[in-house]
Amino acid sequence: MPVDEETAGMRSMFWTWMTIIIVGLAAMILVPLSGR
Amino acid sequence: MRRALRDNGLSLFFLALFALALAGQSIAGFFRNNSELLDHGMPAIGFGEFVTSSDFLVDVAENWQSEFLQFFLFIAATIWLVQRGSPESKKPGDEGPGDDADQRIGAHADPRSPRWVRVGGWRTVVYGNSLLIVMGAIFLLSWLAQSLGGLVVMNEENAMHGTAAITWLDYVVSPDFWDRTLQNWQSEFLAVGSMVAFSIYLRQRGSAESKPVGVPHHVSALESE
Repeated sequence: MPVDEETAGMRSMFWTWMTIIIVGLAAMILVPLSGR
Repeated sequence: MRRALRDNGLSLFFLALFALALAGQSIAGFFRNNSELLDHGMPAIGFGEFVTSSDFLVDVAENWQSEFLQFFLFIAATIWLVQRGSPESKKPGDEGPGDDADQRIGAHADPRSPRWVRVGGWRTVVYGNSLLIVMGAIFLLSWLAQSLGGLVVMNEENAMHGTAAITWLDYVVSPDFWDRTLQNWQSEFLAVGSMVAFSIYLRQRGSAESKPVGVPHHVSALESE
């Protein structure tokens, strides 16, 4: 594969970080709203 | 497999550090919190209960918001402001959003450009600012999370001390909220500002964050390429 091709690894890194942040933000907003 | 690990080593390295640091924070925070509960004559709580409590999450949120604010401001400020000689900066004279040719948009897009660049219109405008939009949204949401978590923690303390609960609007103008906020902001701004200034004169051979070792001090990032 040429070095300048987009790879599945690049996409999975992007979505891994995005998922961590979305799940983290959801938890950090919903937990206090539930009063815990 | 080895190729994938090498290609994504930088993201994976920080992913591992993030997981370890968050795990460490949760364990240290768990013991600190239980120690405080026992000091107040209250029963200790379990680890699962602690990591799903505002007490833990507010500390995570206050650090998240400041990091994302740092990157948001750095991305935005480096559009219009320069530091001569810093590899973190464009060269003086290049301030501004750049023209279509520089940015490879409009008539200058090529078939391998991202799809939202090739289609033009509002999608190209949104895509052209997407990094700033996402970093700004994460900053605002984590700052909101900090305020919500901080309010729950403050009202738990108020209940322990027999004082009245306060509202969210009271909390976001309270010294506790701004103390948590600004203690993080000052360190982020210190680190970014000193990195910009130090990188004029100091080098790290082989790092993408540094100019090549032999490049003169007055050369900024784009000039050195």
